[in-house]
Amino acid sequence: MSDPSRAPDPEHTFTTLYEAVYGDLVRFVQRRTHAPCAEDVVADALMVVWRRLDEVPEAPEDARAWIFGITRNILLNEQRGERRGRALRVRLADTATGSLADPEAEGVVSRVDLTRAWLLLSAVHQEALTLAVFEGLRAPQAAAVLGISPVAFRLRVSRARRALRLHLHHQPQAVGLCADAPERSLRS
Amino acid sequence: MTRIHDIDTALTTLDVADPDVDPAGPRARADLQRILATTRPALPAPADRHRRSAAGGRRGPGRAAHGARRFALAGGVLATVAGGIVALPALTGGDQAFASWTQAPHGMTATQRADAVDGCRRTQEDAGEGTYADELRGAEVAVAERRGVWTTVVLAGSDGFSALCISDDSAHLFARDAIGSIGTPTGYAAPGPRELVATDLGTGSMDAGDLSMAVGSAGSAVAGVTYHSQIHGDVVATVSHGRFALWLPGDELEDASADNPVEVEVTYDDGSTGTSKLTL
Repeated sequence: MSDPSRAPDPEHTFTTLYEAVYGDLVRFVQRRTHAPCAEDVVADALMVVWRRLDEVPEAPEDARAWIFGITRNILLNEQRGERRGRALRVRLADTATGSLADPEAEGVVSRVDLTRAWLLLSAVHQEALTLAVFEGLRAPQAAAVLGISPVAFRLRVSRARRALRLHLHHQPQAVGLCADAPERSLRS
Repeated sequence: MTRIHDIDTALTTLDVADPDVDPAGPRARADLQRILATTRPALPAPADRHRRSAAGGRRGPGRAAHGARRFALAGGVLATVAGGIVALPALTGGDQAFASWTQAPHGMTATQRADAVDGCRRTQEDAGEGTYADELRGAEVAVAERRGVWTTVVLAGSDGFSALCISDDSAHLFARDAIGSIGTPTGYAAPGPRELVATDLGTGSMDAGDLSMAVGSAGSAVAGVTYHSQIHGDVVATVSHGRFALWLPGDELEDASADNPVEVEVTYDDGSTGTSKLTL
């Protein structure tokens, strides 16, 4: 039988959780929005978490994914007036002004090409890859963020990787090639 | 450059996120203190909720403004029965952005069920200036479900009469985000044993965001209804007492119409399955 006097203090529980996820959550938002202050979105999300503290999953990795899901919903909610698709595009660094001299990256792919290929991905595929690569979520947790099944998520990531590879292999090789391949032109 | 690891490594070098976010920084600490200073919502005791209902609520200017905005947002798409949309705004608290919503309904305690049904009746009793008071009194509970903190109630009467309420049960009574409809469909024809007849189909808007719903009458042989959402995966309806009800966050069903029916998977009581196209 549990001892009520030993019940976890909500403030302590929340503070521990807050400190554990805060950095990841700010980065999660920064990747998905140009909002000048990601901390504002994070504060809104963590306010929801505080209200729903009793529902936070026990396992840390599940809790982290659950909070990502709340944050994603808030971002989608903010964008609903713009009638965008129900997926969030994910930003990569602007290679035009960023360093292109990263030797590790240069060894496998041009960063410019990768950025172009990324921009050709659908928002759905961007989200799937980002959850796996940047947020480092396993399929069950990433699926929970998106509200789909783990099987569907694995399929989505697989398709996203395939699409990214195809885009990388079909980069315009020289100025002018896009003229006869309009489908390869970059989206704004 | 086709190896997954190589692509992943290359992608991470293009990350725009700040690697040095400090959870102990001034902004983070200030937000933490502000959040902790707010009161976590707790469901009021039933007696307390009845007392506040009898007091007639506390309508302030802010609430009136919210209500008017939300009526406009629903735009008549949601209410397909011959009645009015009823929407109550959330003043504070509540489940913003449908964070707790679940694809499948889950159970309610007897107390939660009684509260949800009672709340729906009271929400709807003034709809249409009391036009439906008699039907509402005679209506039986067909559906009472929860998805996260959200409760859905369908009260069913004769000739297709229904009263629908979807509300955020986490906020206190007069701060609840709620939406619904009431009335009897024009030319209503009861479904055949394996048929579905939608009475509410489309989207509405609440403080928490847009939502899509499919609600209606189900034939006697219908045991289950599932909508395959592109965004949320399989959304499972509650099928009970000849009615079905499902809803999901977002505006996915916004364009539902006779020309653009919503396809759902139906499971029949003999174990077979089929599809049904919902229209209005």
